Amino acid sequence: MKSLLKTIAFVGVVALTVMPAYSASPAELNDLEIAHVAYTADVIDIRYAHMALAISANPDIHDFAHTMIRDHEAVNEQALGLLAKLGVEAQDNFLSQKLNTDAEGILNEMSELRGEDFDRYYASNELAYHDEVNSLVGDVFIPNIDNAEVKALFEAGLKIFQAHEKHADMMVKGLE
Amino acid sequence: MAISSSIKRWACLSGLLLLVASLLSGCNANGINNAYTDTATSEPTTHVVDIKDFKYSQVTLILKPGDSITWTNLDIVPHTATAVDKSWTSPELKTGESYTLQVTTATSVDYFCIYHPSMVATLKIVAG
Repeated sequence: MKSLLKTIAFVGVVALTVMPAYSASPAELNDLEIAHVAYTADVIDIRYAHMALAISANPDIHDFAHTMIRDHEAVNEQALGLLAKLGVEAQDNFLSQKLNTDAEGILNEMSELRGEDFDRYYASNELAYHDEVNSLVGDVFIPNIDNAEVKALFEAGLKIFQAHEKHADMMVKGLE
Repeated sequence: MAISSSIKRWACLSGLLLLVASLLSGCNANGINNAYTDTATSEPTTHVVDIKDFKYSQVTLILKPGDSITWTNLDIVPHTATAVDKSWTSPELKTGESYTLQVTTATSVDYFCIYHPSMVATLKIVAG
């Protein structure tokens, strides 16, 4: 019996050591998980932009979409460069998966729209998306990032996304 | 036009001077955009404007005809410096790239980043 208990205890210790720690809230994500969320958020916005370029005929929408592609690709390039320099890889997590799931729904909805309906949806979604991501990055991620270089990149990224939010706000008002 | 981005106007004044000026001050590999002025009353100055954190480092820059402005992009995304009236623009400035513009006559002009319209600044060109 004593031997069985020892075995169970040993298996338990091994399981706790080997199994990855799954975070339950954004505040509990580690630097590599946070990097994955940010990369995912960038890729999602690039996907929205490509759809906008494919469907919209509005030049302002096109200008904004081109900027989103240009900027988010630049940020992701910087992020990948930093991760390579640090010799680490971003880690998938519940929040990245949730963002992707939500994005699929939004992309499906957008794909059904045309003309001004599409433009308004795209512009409003960009405003809401950047507002949400900026709150997450500014209020939750940056205070919890441990690595100084990762933190600096996120601080630079936040300024970029805040400018995008202002631009999106201008776009929304221009469509009213 | 208050700010010239070409040498066409000068060419009208003197073909010979155009040749000399072109030899001495032609556009170079650093993207310096030369214009020429005959209104400067003192030594021209080159003003430096950094683009960082989605802001131009000098929101209002006062300069005189003959002066130059050099913008350098220190952000990780591309920017431009583009006149609101579209009379001149820098090319796309990637990280670390610079662009220089020489101003000619007194005027005031607002400019912005064509990619990020919330970035705005003003040049006030005041005669000597």
